[in-house]
Amino acid sequence: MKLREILEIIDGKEVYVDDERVYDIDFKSAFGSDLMSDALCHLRDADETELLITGLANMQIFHTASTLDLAAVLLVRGKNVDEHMIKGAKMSNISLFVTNYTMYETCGRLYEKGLGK
Amino acid sequence: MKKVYTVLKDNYEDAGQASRDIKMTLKMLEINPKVLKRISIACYEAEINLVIHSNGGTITFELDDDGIVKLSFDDTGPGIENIELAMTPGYSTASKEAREFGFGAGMGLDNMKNCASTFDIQSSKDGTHLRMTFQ
Repeated sequence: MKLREILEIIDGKEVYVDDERVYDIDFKSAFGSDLMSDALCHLRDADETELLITGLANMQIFHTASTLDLAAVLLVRGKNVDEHMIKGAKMSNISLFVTNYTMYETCGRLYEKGLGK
Repeated sequence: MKKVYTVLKDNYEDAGQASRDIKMTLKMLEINPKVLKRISIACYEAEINLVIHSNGGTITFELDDDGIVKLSFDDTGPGIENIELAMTPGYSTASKEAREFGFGAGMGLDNMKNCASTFDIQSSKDGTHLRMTFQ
């Protein structure tokens, strides 16, 4: 599933795009968690086609995504993103998006439309 | 090649910087991407552990002529009371602050062990010493 479709389904917005090629990635699945240690454990074999969905708004989401070779992070619950966060995304070469939906609704909507099915 | 990084207790802001630098260094050396992923995950997990559990310490990164990567994590305490228990998936003594930062699921040590080729941990109240190699 391409990012434009993902954003349309969850009424998501672009916060920071590190590389426009993120829009060309065909996302295969997603992992939703506020615990980065769970992501590090479960996504050992992940690549850029995995979308990290989280309600955690701090630098560790970028370190985690970068460690796992992911390309994009989707913040749920309309988390506020300040300049500091954007700097973190930039340093880690991670693109960042946000939706006002909750984690439950976000994952449900995307799964229903086929992401990760 | 050898690099040493200092990690400070409770420095959540900079947690992950050393691991990022090590990953970048190895990436430039064009190491096998699958091995690099395992190194990155284990290194980041261990760095986070230094920040949230220890009084602070160092990370030593070494790359020998045979391409074997060795990572050493040495802190100055307070030590792990029961290593066997700490290795149990799901067991955690992480603080509320650490959990709010996204860590403390109790999967760290087990994850590191699964990523590394060799894994050795020794601990006393004077400090914990973790050695991992990757090839």
